[in-house]
Amino acid sequence: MAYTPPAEFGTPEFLARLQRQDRDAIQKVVHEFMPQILRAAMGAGLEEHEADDVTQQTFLTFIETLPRFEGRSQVRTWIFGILYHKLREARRGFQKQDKQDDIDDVLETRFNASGMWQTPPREADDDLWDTQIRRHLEECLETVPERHRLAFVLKEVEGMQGKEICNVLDVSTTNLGVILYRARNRLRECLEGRGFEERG
Amino acid sequence: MMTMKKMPGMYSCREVHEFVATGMVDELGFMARMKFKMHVMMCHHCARYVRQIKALGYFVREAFGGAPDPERCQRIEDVVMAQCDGHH
Repeated sequence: MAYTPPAEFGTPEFLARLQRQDRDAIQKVVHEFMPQILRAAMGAGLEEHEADDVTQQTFLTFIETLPRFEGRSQVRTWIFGILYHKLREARRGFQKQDKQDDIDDVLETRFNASGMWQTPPREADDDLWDTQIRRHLEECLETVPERHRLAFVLKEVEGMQGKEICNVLDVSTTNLGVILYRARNRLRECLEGRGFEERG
Repeated sequence: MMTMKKMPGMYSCREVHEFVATGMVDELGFMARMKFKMHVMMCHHCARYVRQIKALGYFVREAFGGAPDPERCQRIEDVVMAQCDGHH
């Protein structure tokens, strides 16, 4: 699950080649990370043509800014950070959200004063499962704010560690916890409302 | 399995759901993890919640985890490298 970049990318020699914008080094990085960036752009909710455009712009900015890349973060983190900035430019939904989120109010009603479930999670309607899960998932993801959705996708699809996601989104560990908490609960509440439970 | 009543020294269902949804469950120390597991073993509501949250990751990997079309990737790569060559 955890992604390991080519060992060469972490060497001082490769960093120096990137900093002087060596074409072969650039192409290796672009080729390596193209599927991940494109997948993340799609997973974050962009339409196909928007995802292509944002991905292209991400790599062009990566190339332009290489002389400033000091290697303090991994190449992948740097590129995903650029992707996040491009997404913020492209869509207002990627701006930082207000502190209060209405999913918090929904969750408040789930527990009693002692912190025990008063409205527990419901069981699944298995009949809905196999044929319709993808459509329901896509529709439910639409209800998740885009920035939260990106964090969730980086965690669950790209398998990024929390620290790397914090660097990409420029948030604290605590903030990331809140973002993932809201993303997961919003998605779970939405799917529960449509009759889905666990599997997999 | 049964629904938990809050007992001294045990986590509440609210705490368990927060550990799971924030991802803090991966950061718990040994004793805290044991308390967490004990609660989930005894509380079928929390056990269900944990399964559902784990399943979300599975769903989204199934839906979005595949490799994008290689031709599409190559097309974007070609545009990027052509612009890169233009700057050099």
